[in-house]
Amino acid sequence: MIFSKIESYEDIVKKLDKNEDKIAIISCNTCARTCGNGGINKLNELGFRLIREGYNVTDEAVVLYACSEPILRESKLNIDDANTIIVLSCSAGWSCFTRNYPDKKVLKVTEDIGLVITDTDREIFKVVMPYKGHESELDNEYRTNTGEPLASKKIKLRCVA
Amino acid sequence: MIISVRSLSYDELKRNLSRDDKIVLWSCDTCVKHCGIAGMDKMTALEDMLKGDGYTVIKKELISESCQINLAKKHKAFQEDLFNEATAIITLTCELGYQCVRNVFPKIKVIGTAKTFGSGNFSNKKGPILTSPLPTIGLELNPEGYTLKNLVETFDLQQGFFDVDKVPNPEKITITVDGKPIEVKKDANLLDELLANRMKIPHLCYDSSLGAIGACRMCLVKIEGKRGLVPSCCTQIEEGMVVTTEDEEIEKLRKLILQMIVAECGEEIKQSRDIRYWLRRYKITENRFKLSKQEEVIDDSDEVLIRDPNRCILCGRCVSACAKLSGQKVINFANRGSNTVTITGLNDNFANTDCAHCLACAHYCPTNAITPKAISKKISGYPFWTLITYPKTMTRSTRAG
Repeated sequence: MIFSKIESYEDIVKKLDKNEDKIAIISCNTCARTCGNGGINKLNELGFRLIREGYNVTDEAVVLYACSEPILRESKLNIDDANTIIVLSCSAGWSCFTRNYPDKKVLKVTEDIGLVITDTDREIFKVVMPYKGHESELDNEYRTNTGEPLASKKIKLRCVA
Repeated sequence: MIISVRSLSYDELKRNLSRDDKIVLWSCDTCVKHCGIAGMDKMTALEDMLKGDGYTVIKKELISESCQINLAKKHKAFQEDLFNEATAIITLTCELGYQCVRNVFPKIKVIGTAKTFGSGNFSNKKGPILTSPLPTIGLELNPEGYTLKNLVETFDLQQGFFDVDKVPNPEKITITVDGKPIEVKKDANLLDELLANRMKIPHLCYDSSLGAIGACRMCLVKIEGKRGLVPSCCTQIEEGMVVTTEDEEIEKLRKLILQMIVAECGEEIKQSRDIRYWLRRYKITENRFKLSKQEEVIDDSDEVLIRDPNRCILCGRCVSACAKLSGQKVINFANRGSNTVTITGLNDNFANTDCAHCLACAHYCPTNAITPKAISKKISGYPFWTLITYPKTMTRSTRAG
């Protein structure tokens, strides 16, 4: 599973043009949801705030995987009205949308932290293979669905890429 | 999805084994399967290779997501005796899955077979591609992606699965099917071999990854010397077997089963690819049975899965996938006879169960009774969520995650 963190709302809106951008928000329902940066909850949170502050949000969608072209094709997203896509997923999901919507501005609003193992029974995940710049995250644990950091370590294993 | 490439040659793998090892093959059924180096068929090929070289393989263990450590622990707990006997586990998983297995089985020799490069996509044109490499790889983020072939050449790794040409030819025997002799693997599953010989045998509950369930009775055949009709999915091949797969009686029974499924589930079940195919094949346009099932409430309480009991044909694939692949046992049968239903948890909503969201049930459901939730909405015209249902046009092998 891939752990990514979403940028702050202020950083996201810096990339948007209130007058020009017609925005579609696409949220991944697998890794990003598990790590607290995707799924319906994060989509609603960002969508409501953008609409409330006057941004032109045209479409919202939750897809099973943002990183799979077959799934993207199956989901037949109708986002022709939009000229800007915000993808709430890891950078692999962003890459997939960048390739498949070359005529639209696809915003990268998350940063990959690392590859993680999960324990869904205890609702925790652990970073075992960190990405560049996040080496200090190795071994850190978080709460699934929220991405809230945990103080104590519950999964005892260590892995270095 | 996580991108991994095989890192060991078959000879290197054998050097890590001793002749008296009791080996368990452990495979993940998600990302690495899409990378072409794992899955039930790959485990079977490796088992044949190892057995051909005199090694002892005691178990093939397929797990829906090997990077979920709680699932690995459950697989161990359900088969404690078998894993106590094992001395080596060969993992067909990414490095995360390998770490989980090593953690869960600290006293057993665990041999990893793959190198993990980072995350990537499943591309329609190129297959799996690496887009976000890990720092140790020394490659930059690339939305166009690096193909597995690029990675194999750059890092001098192993292409594809273990040397497929080294898979020993299994012992073959001849059986007679519909009056014609065919060559089949000795002791293999009859339905597997009939399908391998490109015979069209209807089956709704059987999948080689899940094993025989024997619930749908669509694959019934006649075998000379055996009483009545037998489900081919539950039959082991024997020397000299004489099998009839199509005759008037068999066709009549299959039509009857299909008509009962449509009567129980309603016309909507015809949207299922498998059911639609067999209804056309047997030219069933009318139904002698009246619709007998009450409309049941669709369970969309969960964030990830939707369960439509109206589409359930009680094939048992979801029950089997949840128990065998995931180990969670969230989905079960309840009641008996004509009152049998599938339930989640203690007849609770999906959202209130301890579902691990490994998606095994959805991937193996033949009728879309369980589907991953995908929703969209237009903010201006019709600002309500619309359900996008995934038609089962694709097999699990083309779904990436």
